[in-house]
Amino acid sequence: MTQANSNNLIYLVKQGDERAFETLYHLYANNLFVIAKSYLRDDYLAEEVVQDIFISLWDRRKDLHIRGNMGGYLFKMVKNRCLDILRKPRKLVSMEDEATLLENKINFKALQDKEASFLLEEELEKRIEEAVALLPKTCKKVFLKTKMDGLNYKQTAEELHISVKTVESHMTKALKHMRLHLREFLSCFSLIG
Amino acid sequence: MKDETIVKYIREELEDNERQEVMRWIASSEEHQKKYNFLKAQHTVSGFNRPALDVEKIYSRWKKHDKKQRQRKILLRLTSAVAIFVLMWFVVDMLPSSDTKKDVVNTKEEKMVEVVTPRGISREIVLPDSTHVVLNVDSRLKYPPVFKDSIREVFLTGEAYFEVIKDTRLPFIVHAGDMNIRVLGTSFNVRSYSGDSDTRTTLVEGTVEVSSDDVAPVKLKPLQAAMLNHGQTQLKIKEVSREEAVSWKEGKLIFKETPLEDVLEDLERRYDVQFEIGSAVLYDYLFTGTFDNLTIDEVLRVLKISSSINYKKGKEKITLY
Repeated sequence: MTQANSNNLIYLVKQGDERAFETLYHLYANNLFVIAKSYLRDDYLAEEVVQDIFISLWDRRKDLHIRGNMGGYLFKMVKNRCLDILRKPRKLVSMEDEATLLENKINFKALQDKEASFLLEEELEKRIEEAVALLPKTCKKVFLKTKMDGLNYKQTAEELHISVKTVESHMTKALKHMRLHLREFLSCFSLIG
Repeated sequence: MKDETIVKYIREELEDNERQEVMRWIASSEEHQKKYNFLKAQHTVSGFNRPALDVEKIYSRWKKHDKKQRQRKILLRLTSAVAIFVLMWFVVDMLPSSDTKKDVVNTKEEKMVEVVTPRGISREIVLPDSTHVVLNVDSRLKYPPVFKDSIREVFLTGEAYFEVIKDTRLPFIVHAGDMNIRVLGTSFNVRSYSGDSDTRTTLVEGTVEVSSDDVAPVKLKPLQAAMLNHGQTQLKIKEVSREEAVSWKEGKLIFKETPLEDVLEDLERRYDVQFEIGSAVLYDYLFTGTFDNLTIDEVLRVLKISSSINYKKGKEKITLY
């Protein structure tokens, strides 16, 4: 996603466009969850962080001032929430106490690390671009026109010389595809080592 | 230490003692930590674009949350629009009459503002008189958009903590279950979930007067709780600790010899999860313990360690056995 495109999405969200928001959600929620889970090491907590971020994004959409790209902004929100959680010494009434505290401490430092943050932020945005690139051709055109350039369905239909119905079905397909397609990266991205 | 071992640790492939060893090694120097930071970030990135989250499910949850909020806003706007219309109608229609104002107030009073919290989400509310209310999860508070001259009256189902702004001319009354709680200016907690066996008021500061249709008013002292069973004509009073009084507000759940079923009900409200009791003996189990700002995963672990209650996390339900 180019910066201009990403900014269009932000612009639409600011206007209260729920579809634009849904796109953002589908594009980023999974990977933000991966980050939160990796550092917090708790599924429920990670899910809560992601949900909170999007709720606050939507609630404060009118006052958003986002410099740079959306991924960078969302990453910073996840990072800050996670750091807040890891910083808080939570009381655990169990033997796992010390181990958990130590783990939180090293993960706090790991998430604070500038270079690590840079890597996470870069990759977050890159992976979204890749997912978009993998969409089937017409689907991609429709997706980019509507979501990124901010055209409504009718304008998109006119510009691509297809019916509004077709635009709608392509959009549904695109969002579904984005989700399913993410699996393909499994093969492209081998684990470390 | 080999990178491989650290990666194994990150992937959670190590036994407990090895795990601890790696963690201590990482924490032992800046250089080690740095190495871990990088490997951890790399491993995190490798998890990108692999479906880990049911996006559809949590998106629909967001939509529900948003819809409720919007409905509330629309309701509020509608209420004020209706109120203004009624006000104008009365002013125009009954200009010569002297008791116009009372009618208007009565009409407005019927339109109550209603704040509802779903499971898992609590909320702070400021009432028209600047009284501060923290509404616990799965609760409902009704109050008029404007308090009329002689009384401040609110209706509660569920649980809420009140910090009432002092105003001696305007008594503040909470109706909850069978209980009426009358205060001037003070902080107190009221709990009255429909599943609970009683309604309970706990005073933190100041004074309150608790009564019901069948019970004469009783004054509470700070850190006393008054409990009224449904249909009963007598209040039970007991002393509580400050911590017990408003624990939920600080994210704590405190249980003292509480039947497991009741504990689970509280957990369901707080974490928006569903429990299932998979073995009959658990119905008799009394739980004592404190969950201090734990996540549901941690709560389950504590249950397992402290009470040897096992659990299985399914898609919809958590089964205890």
